[in-house]
Amino acid sequence: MATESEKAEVKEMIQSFYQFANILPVWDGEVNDDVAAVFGTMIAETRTCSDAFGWVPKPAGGRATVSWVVRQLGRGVFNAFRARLSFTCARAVIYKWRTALELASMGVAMKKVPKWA
Amino acid sequence: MGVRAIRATSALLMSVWLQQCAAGEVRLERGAWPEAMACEACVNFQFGELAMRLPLRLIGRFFVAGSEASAVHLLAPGAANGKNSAVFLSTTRAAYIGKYQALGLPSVNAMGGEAFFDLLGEPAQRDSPFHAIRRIEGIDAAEHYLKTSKGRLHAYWVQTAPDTSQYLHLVVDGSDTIYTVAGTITSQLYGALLGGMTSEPQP
Repeated sequence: MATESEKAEVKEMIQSFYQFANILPVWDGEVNDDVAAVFGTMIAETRTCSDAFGWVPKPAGGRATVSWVVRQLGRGVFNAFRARLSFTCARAVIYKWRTALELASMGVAMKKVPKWA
Repeated sequence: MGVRAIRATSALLMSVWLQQCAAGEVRLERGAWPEAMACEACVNFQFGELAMRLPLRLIGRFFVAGSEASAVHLLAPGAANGKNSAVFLSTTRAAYIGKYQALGLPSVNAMGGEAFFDLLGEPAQRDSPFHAIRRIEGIDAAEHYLKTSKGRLHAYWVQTAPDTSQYLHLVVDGSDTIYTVAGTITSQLYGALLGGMTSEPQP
């Protein structure tokens, strides 16, 4: 079970991703494991346009959780590697997944769960 | 609490309530399709079946990541990076609308792209799936939600404050694809994108 502190850390990462990509308004939803799964998929999808997060391993079961995101990318690691993304890469990925992120935040599970690439 | 304090609190609550009502009242507005502009320095650009003639004074560069071809970025002349790009994206109608079935939307087979985006233009009751979809699609926060049509083409501009992300959705009658331009969309770019737009077979 994710702690409030872990959820806050994941929210900071997602918001930092939006700010980096200059996509406003910045996402401001509630973090849960579905949100973490979508965010994990977004990180994986950056591999189609950047090597910045190529080192991140697949999560067990192919689906990221809040705790997994914090373990892999917490304590400033996400921001350090985020800076290696191109703006175009970050923007394209966020625009593709922003509605899935909103739905996940509302507690609506998508029929087709995003999978790690 | 004194009478003044009660009045001030009531006025504040009323103001907040009115703002909340206004935020949910954005309705579909219909406008004329932008006129094609005479263009001496233009480039032909086609994304899927959308063919355009874009002026070089507005487009400095097209960018497609080598390994990822489903997004095309339009960069303004002189742009050092893609931080303010407008991005062309596309997806199937089933994927775009179908994800909202989890909110209670009827079968995607029962709703075409034009019907879906038209319905987004009507303020919805709290128990309607469109109440949430309008929020997710940014309609509630928009300044205007503008529809314009030309022949088989229908364009929907979610026009938000200038410093926020804009969305221009395009549907083509008889096509199963939904196109979206997201990012920095100025009025000039909007006019340029639509002005000379036609629906063409993919070459």
